[in-house]
Amino acid sequence: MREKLVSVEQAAQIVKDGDHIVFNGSMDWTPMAMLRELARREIRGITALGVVGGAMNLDFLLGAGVADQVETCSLGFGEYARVAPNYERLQKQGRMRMLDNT
Amino acid sequence: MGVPFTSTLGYAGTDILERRPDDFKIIENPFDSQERTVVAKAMNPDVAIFHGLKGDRLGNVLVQKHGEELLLAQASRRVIVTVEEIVNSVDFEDSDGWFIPAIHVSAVVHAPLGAHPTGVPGLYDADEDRINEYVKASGTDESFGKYLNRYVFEVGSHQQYLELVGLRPELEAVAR
Repeated sequence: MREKLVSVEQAAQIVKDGDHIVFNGSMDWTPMAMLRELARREIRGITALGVVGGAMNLDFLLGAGVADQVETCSLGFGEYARVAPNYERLQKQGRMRMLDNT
Repeated sequence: MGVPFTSTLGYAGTDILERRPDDFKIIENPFDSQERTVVAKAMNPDVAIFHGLKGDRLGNVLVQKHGEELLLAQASRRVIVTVEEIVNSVDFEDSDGWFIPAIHVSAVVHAPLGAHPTGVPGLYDADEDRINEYVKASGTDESFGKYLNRYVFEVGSHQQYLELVGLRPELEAVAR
């Protein structure tokens, strides 16, 4: 059996520029420790998929410049904002692409 | 999952079909030539990333109940799961969460409080002040850049992040 327990830093090496990364749709359980490491490594060109829906997961990757495209059916932010805030800013400025799969 | 597409009639009549012709098509039902249906191309993500409850060294994990994680893990080429706790062996009958077998997991990472500032129901609440700080910072590139410097770039590791945000005692107690 292969040992699969690795550090945050080692796991981040699994992610390559341009990858499509999928997340669950909840504001809870966001894998923030991993997402902060992807930002630290300056991963770029990610398409972030939210199933079903997205929240801080997709919004953080957009705000950090890691993702430039998202695909989901909604991008909220729990009870904290009506729309995920980095998404709202970048979408209005035409600096990213959103694919709707409602 | 490995399926090339799925039938999803719910898109019929929406303009998504016109706007995304490479991803959605109307086809004839192969079992009934009188009927047409909508099919959606499979996504086949390169990576799935989740935060879960428990993991073991072989890659078995326990994630939240009632989520989409198993389906997404099966559909993705590589799967990273960060967990609150590493245990000797994840028991597939453990009722704390839902089991994903190691065959669907590429990497397990021990990241206690790894969802912060979001929460893990049953273990710790969302940090509302920090999330509100994030929302406020998101107003401009400049202010979010400052947020990133503080919480990401000037912090070398997850452990340093936890020190920076100063874990409340009740968080540490519940998260073990």
